[in-house]
Amino acid sequence: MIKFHKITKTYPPDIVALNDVSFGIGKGEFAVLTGRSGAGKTTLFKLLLGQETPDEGQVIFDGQDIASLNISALAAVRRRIGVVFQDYKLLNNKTISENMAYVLEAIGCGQGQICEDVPEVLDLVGLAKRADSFPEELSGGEAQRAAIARAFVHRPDVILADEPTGNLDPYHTRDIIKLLLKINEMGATIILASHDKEVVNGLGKRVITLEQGRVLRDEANGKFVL
Amino acid sequence: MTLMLSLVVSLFLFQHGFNVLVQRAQDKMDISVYFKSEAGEEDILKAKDEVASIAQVERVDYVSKADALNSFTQTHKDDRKLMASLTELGFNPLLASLSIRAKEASEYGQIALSLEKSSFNDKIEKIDYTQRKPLIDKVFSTASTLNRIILAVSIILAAIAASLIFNQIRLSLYHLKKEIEVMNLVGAPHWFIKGPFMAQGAIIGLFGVIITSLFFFALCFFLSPHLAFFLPGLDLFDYFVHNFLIIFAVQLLVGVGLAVASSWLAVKKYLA
Repeated sequence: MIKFHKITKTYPPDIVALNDVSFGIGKGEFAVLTGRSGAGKTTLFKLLLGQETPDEGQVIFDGQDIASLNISALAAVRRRIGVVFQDYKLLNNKTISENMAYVLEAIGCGQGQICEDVPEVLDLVGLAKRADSFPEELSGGEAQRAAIARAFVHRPDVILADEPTGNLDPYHTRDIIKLLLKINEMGATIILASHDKEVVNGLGKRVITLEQGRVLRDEANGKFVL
Repeated sequence: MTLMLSLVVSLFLFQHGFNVLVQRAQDKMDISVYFKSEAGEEDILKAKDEVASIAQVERVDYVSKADALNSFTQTHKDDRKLMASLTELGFNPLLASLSIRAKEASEYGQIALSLEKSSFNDKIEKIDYTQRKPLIDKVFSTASTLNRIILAVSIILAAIAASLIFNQIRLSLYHLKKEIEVMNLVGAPHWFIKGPFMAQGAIIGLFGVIITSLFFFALCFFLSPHLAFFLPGLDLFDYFVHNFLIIFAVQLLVGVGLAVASSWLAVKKYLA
């Protein structure tokens, strides 16, 4: 479903973020990207979202070369990908349910579907009672669950989670990982970027280890080894 | 926004005031053709008809010897020496003339040329165009230069105002940068993201237009009588009212157009 093919990306003046990176991720898979800070995990996400273009190589999503897409085709791809950030990136002037409704409105869903889907996903992430709260009124764990709810509300094919547990305590970290596993069981492909050893080792999923912009290891039932 | 629109309306009104001023200066200009003393009134009236048929001529007035003397006496009645000399002379030394007014100040040269080639050229004593030419040329060139200056100033001020508005809108959207980026990342179509900001820009522009229009309505109403005192013939309020639709449309085009375009550009910057 997703294929990174011989990707090289350099930032000025000569910082090599990715160097000849190739791997693929299948539909419904749960893959963990791990590596030190600056290893290239976030750059891979940016390439997949079309926020950056590779200097060399191709990022293929469902048969489409991301770099060659026009604005509307890229927006359509983004609608098939939900993104969870370490700093949540929720819209602060909207309530949690409005944050979620916004995504559904953006993809053209009617009010009926919005009223049906938002409470359902809020229930899934355990935030049904916080639907009318603003992001600033939530704890870190709640805000991250809200971010996952927003990323998943339109049932995307893929969820990109960029260090979603980076700001959370172990209790909330387990919560978030359980939630991602649950969403994966529902059929979504999950790519989790994390340098949390406990998280990576506890999952027992495919682990792609990046170091200095290269794929160091790619193991089906991988461990955190650096 | 209101400041920028005020600038636009001010330039519009100033242009009108300036045109009235130039028109008045041009109205006071004419050239006179003096006929030899032996030329009869019948010849001069024929010449008048010929002059009136010149395309550039707006009006021709015949001034007889008697009218000229009468006018001269009225003007110099307090100058005793001059009056005594005239009486001593014993006859009317002034010449009959045609006073010619052109449609445009720039056309006096062409009229003077036509007069020199006319059938009654042999009856002409002198044409005072050469004497007045420097003044006529000066009025014409001043009007033309001032028009160019107004245009240049308008363009410069409009560019400054446009850049101010753009920066103001860009700054007001800066704190929404993160939100715009998030909207973009969740796959919202660009029109869906830009639409509300452009609508907001249009509303701000519209309010600016309404406030500016009300302000200038009041300003022209109160200022018009005072300006008419200094420049008779200039009724700024009447001009504002009669041209309100055009002034409003220009403001809409500038205000709303600029605000919408600025919002569009400012949001576009954050859409990677």
